[in-house]
Amino acid sequence: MSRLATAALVVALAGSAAAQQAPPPKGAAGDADVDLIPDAALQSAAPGAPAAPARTSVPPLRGSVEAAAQALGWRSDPVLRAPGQDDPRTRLRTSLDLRAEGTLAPGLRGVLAHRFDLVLSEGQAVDDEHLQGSLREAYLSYRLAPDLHLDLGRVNQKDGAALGFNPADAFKANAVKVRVSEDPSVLRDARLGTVMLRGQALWDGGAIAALYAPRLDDGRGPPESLSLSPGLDRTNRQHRGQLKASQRLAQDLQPEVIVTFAEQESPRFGLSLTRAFGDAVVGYAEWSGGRRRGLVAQALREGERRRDLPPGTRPLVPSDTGEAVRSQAAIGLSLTTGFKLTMNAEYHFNEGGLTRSDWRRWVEAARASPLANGQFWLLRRFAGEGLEPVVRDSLFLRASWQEAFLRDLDLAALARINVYDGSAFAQVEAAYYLTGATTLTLTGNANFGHRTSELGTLRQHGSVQVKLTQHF
Amino acid sequence: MHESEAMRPVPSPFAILALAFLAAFPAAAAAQARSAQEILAASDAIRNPGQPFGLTVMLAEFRSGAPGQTMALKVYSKEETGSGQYRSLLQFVEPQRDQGKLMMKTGNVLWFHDPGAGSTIRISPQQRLLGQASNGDVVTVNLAKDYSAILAGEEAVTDADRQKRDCWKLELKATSDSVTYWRVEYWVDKATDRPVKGRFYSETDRLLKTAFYRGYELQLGRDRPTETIIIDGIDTALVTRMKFSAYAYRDVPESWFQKDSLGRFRPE
Repeated sequence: MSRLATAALVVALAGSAAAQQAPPPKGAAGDADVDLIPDAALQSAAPGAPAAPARTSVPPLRGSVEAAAQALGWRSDPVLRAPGQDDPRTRLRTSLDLRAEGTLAPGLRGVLAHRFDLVLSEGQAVDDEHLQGSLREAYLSYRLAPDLHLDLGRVNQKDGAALGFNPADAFKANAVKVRVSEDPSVLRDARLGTVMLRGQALWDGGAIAALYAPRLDDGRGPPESLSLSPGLDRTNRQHRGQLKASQRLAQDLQPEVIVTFAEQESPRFGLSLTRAFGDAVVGYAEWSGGRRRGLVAQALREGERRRDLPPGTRPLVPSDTGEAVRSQAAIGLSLTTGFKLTMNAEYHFNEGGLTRSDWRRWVEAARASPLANGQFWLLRRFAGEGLEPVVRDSLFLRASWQEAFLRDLDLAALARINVYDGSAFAQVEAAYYLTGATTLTLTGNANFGHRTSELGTLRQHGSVQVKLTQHF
Repeated sequence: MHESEAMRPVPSPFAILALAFLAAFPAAAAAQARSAQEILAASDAIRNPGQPFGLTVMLAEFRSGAPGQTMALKVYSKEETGSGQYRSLLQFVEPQRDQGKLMMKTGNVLWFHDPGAGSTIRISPQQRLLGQASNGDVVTVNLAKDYSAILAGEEAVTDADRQKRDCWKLELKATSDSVTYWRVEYWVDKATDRPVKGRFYSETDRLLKTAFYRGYELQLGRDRPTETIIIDGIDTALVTRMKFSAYAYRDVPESWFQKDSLGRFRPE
């Protein structure tokens, strides 16, 4: 059908379009700009015009279903090996993610977010043991006044501005039940909330919040990782309280100050701020500090708590086990180009983590002694579950490119780099949007580095995953 | 949530939405451009509801004439006391993968919130989450602060419905380094003061977008354009239609416009 005929048809079908006159055929306008407008764009009822979006408001129940298949590669001759580690060549996962929220009564809202993951490694049969439930949020929110709110239940409070490491986030440790990715920002999003009572007041340019999170499970014993349990042993193993406040001091300066109290621990102070530099750059920084033990001492204490280690276990590598004021920090920049490429670069500092020489000594000890090897992997697990770097200094890089080559294709890459030994975890990902509700994702990752390096000592060499996500 | 979605740039709808408002506000005209200031102000009054308001935006893309993606957004906006900048909250209704996500903008401060992940991320004005095309344009909508206007002449310009309109042609020049569009050509109907067309240029004087305003209907007390057609200046085969509906004056509290409030956003 010629454009002329199409235009005529559009006009004929449009007929009664209110307050709009029938457009003359293309080319008659004598304006090159107007001639670029397709006829279908001028009349929504035209044949071939896209359907109007089906919704005009966000539904109270929404979620997604995922199916993923992963192939894993393993080093055949690792220098060190984590106790009890399997090395499946394939892994299948299907997940159901649900979120419901709505008004239950005037001023009272309910929020429920739950995720189910069925993860089967090579050779495993479908079994209850492999079905894992993550109750991420379940809380009631009552509005005492227009800008005064009270929340009760499991709330997912996430603080901090960085992507790869959030020192200011007091509720991140142990809260990831199922590691569906090694991307720190994905893990941050996938974690469990903490049961708490929280009050928050908001005003123009500021907010203050106070919360209390009770101890509901002392966490003694192994975590209930493979079950449908709510995982309170992960999120509510201490009585904790927190005060948080922010105030806009200038147009683009609104720092957030956080003080967290936990039983048997010294108060921990946090600070987070962001600032734009021009049109394309955002800088961000967060810090936390307080008296605490170093990573090794904390990890051994956690091992004793879980009864993986006998009480009074001493580190087999000389380490600073005393309390001292220790800081954690993340400083980063994001830069967005005109062709939709956004790059983030972050420096992560964990004062309680292992130094270059600490790392060398631990690797040597672990190679020489099974007991030291056990402690070595225990402290690595502790850092991983705490979502904090195992070493003192590290870098995190991320790039995401929207509409890369194709309109519905996104590409992303990230790297977490140990600055001491140059080892790195790297991941690349391609996401293709089949429809507005369906996404096909291909992900590949690998650990690079010398056999005695942080990432080079990991048994897993890399993996490739294909995933289909259907949103509803 | 999909791994990469949280970092997807805001769709061209945001860019286009910005364009839809872009010429809507009074320019801080230079002294010699007083008449341009008055014309632009009259045109602004047609586009600008003048009070805090909400509306629904339906977007449809066309590539080489063929229909493409659609999107629905709810927009809540108000003018900031003092600065005159517009502050806006955008909630995604469609596509499904993005529903419920929020973007908040006040001045050059932009935050993106994903309620499913519970995460809130600071983004730059150039960066956009969730989306399709964007030239990294501003969401800044208050031209009075960022542009000066002069009267460039009178022209008979063809509107989107291919009708000739006798227009004032205004030239807007950026007075702030923070804007993406450094120069704007803007045509206003001489008889009605309605905006008809705008062309938006980069710092290097490259045409980024062309906007046509149409579908004038009675909304919030006067005739306002209910459609904007955007032609991408770089990829001219890409055309986006924005339809505005459900205009309503509404309370838009100042406390909405900060990071901590996004998790509590309840528009109704």
